[in-house]
Amino acid sequence: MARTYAFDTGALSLHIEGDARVRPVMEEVARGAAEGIVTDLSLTELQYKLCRRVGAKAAEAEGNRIRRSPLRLVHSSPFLDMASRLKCRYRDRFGLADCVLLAVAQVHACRILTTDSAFEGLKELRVSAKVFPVSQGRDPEGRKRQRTRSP
Amino acid sequence: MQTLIAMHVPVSLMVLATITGRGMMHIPADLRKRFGIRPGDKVELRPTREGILLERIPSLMEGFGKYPGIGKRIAIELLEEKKAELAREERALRAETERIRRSPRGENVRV
Repeated sequence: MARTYAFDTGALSLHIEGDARVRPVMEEVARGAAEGIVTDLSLTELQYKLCRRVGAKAAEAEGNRIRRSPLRLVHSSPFLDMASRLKCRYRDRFGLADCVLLAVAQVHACRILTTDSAFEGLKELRVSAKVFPVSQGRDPEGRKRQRTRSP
Repeated sequence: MQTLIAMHVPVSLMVLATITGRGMMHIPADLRKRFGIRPGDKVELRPTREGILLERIPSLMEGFGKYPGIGKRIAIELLEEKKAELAREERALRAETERIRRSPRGENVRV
């Protein structure tokens, strides 16, 4: 059975960013070697964040690209009961959108791809997580350059 | 990028194509080149008042790296917002629990 990945909004953001860490996974999904899942909430989140920066038209175009891609858009409504139970259990660890993603991932036995370190060490049946950390700091090369300049 | 296959277009732009018995149609090379249609591409056929609109669907990987600098900022912003929201929720829950704990027994507690 092909591997199934569930992308959170952060992982989708890294895709449009062009982050090399998500490229192999996206390519796997694009060529049909793996299944990729995105929840409607994650896509909405990406679209509204993009909308504020590049405008509604471009954000919708990006949303449409994802909707018409091999990534499977999953509607959250059938998972809301399960998500509410998960939110109750992990109330100080995950947001509601994360819990919907977690519920979807449990049902579809997915590997969650995320930028949120809260998923590290997650112990839920049928689910694993791969965290792509992001930070606001300068890139390591930048830091190196700065250090060599300073006395 | 959109291609309109319609009856009412200027003669200079008109391209005639024949539909085969199985509903197949050949898109001429110059049109394929102009609209970036390559073998293996997916296209969407949309019925409109004027005819059938044929639109190439951009591939998933065409969106990779489309917004450098923006994607990472979005990811960071989302994490910060989530952290703040969870902290807000937790504070509200603690305050509510404290109010209930301090209220005299039997008194209505406004939450």
